[in-house]
Amino acid sequence: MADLLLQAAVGVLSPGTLIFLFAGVLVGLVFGVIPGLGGTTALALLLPLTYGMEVSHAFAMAGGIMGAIAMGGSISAILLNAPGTGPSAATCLDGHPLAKQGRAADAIGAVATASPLGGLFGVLTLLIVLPMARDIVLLFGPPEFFLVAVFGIVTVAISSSRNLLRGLVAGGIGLMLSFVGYDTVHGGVRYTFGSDYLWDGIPLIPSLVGLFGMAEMIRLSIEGGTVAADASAVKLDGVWAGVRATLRHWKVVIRGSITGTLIGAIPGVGGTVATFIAYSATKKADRDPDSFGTGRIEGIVAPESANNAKDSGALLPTLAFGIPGSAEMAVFLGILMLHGLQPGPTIFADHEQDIYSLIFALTLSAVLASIIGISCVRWLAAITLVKGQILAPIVIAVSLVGVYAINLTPGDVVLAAVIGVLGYLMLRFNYPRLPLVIALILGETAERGFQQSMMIGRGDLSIFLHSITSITLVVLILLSLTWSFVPLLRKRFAARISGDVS
Amino acid sequence: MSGAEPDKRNLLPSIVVLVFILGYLVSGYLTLDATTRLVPLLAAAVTLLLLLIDIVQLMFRGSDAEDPHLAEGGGVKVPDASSRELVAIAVVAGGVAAVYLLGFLLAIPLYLFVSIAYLGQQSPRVALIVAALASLTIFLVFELALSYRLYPGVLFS
Repeated sequence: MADLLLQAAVGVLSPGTLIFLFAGVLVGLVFGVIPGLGGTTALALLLPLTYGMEVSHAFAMAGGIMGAIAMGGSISAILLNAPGTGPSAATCLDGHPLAKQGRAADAIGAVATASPLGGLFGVLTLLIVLPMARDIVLLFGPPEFFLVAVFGIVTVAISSSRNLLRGLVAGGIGLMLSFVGYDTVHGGVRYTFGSDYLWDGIPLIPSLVGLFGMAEMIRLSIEGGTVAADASAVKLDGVWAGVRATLRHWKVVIRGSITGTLIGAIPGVGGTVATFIAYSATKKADRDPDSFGTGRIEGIVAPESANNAKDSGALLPTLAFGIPGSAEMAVFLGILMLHGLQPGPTIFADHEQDIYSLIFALTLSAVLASIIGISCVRWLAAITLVKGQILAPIVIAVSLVGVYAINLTPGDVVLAAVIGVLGYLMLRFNYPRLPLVIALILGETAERGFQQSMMIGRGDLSIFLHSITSITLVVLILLSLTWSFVPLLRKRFAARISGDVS
Repeated sequence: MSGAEPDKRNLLPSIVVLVFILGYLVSGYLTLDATTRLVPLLAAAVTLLLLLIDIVQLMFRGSDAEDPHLAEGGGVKVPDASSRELVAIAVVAGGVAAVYLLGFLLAIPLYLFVSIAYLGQQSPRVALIVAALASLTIFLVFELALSYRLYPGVLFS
């Protein structure tokens, strides 16, 4: 493994790759700073552009974006109280009060230190777990793959929406769409309505660009306005005090990193949950929990270390099973597939070098993002002054050209636009998009696993309970569904009691 | 009452999804053979059941999901944005239609100008400058630097 890591380090540090990593970090910082965009949009827009690149360059750029998003999102959270990304929202709680006290530099210094330290922790955990992941994946046959796909869809549907039913309906629609095209198990074509374009199914990349990139841009063009009124109010002196404070609170860094890595590995739970859990765990463990929210540096260190550690956690199910741990990872899965890397058990054997390069790029990008973030913080804050109505059409135009460039097919442009509008309508009417996209990705795996299991078990459904792994998965699915009803029942119970009292 | 007040307008998207699922079920049943339709129809039937429960819930109790603060990404933050939404969607649709007919090199500046000047309510001068600069950058990056031949459009191919 040491040899592979060394080769990966040499590869990533070569000037050609380093330029792409640097570009990815810049893109990640910019998209991170602008509220509403975030890593998913950045990766979705980058996706078609990576088509002509070498795998190592594409991974360096994607790794750069993923590593830098957290830093960018936290800069606007601290300076403007407008989190650039969902997971950075927890940083607002103590980051913005610090900025209002004139200590924005302390807060940014803490982010710049906690963020790469969390990333490093996540990567080290990933390196320890990766060799074992191969053996774990070999325990999986067709029934287990079917159940893993169902588990992925269910957990994402449950966790990505406060309305469980809508999450599951969105997942169901994603599954239905995944069956469009050629049936790889029985042969025959389904739901193409005579269109040759749909023979290979609904293409993933235009769908991702539409659903995440274009939908957000349509929203931005409708909402309009700018994020901040005055960037000159930003005070930035004395970053090193924040760096030292973070190093003093190393226990908080470790707690946040463990939380981020563990929660990141659960499909669909997402970074926002990870950072808020890390924040509340630190608050609970503190001697003076009431002072949190007034500008405590630990209130920044905990969520920030979790924020970067979660990416490594999310990478594990993405690579091993093809189940993305988050929306960002769903788009990253698209980049993998675009470059011919099929996630699953064989990826570790077939593309070991590429995976180590990605891991190294993730680590380096977190460090680079911190350095660039500190150096360019004032300019990055100024990006939030660009009007949404100008930014959105430019990004839409670039993404349409990028989508076309993949296969040089005008149909992809039309599909991306149609799915972009669909994505916007889903946002508008509170249907979560992530379950749809996860189900679109996992539909084929689920169907193939189901059909093969039925053939192996000769139509007997007990095949899904033939091993400890499959029984565990069935229990997990049932537990997830049951657990999701607990808050609903609790709320009903509370409402009934309050009704009785009144 | 625990949820928001029932609003029949909220039913519209659910009804559209309902029609889509019913169409999917009927079309699959009529056009596919028994083995290939098994899994798609099973998925559609389960989704239909879940949707019907959601609709019943929406009709009789309202839904917590109607609170935009609970929605993904905070929902859309423009109250009664219907007319702006229609214009924004129409501009994107027009842009794609223009790409199909005129090709990228003519459609992109046109789309950017209309989008920025009309939807974005910026001055025509600003719209023109942004449209020209952005289109030039796209041309330089994609056509010249990356050597992609951008789609010339049905009228010019």
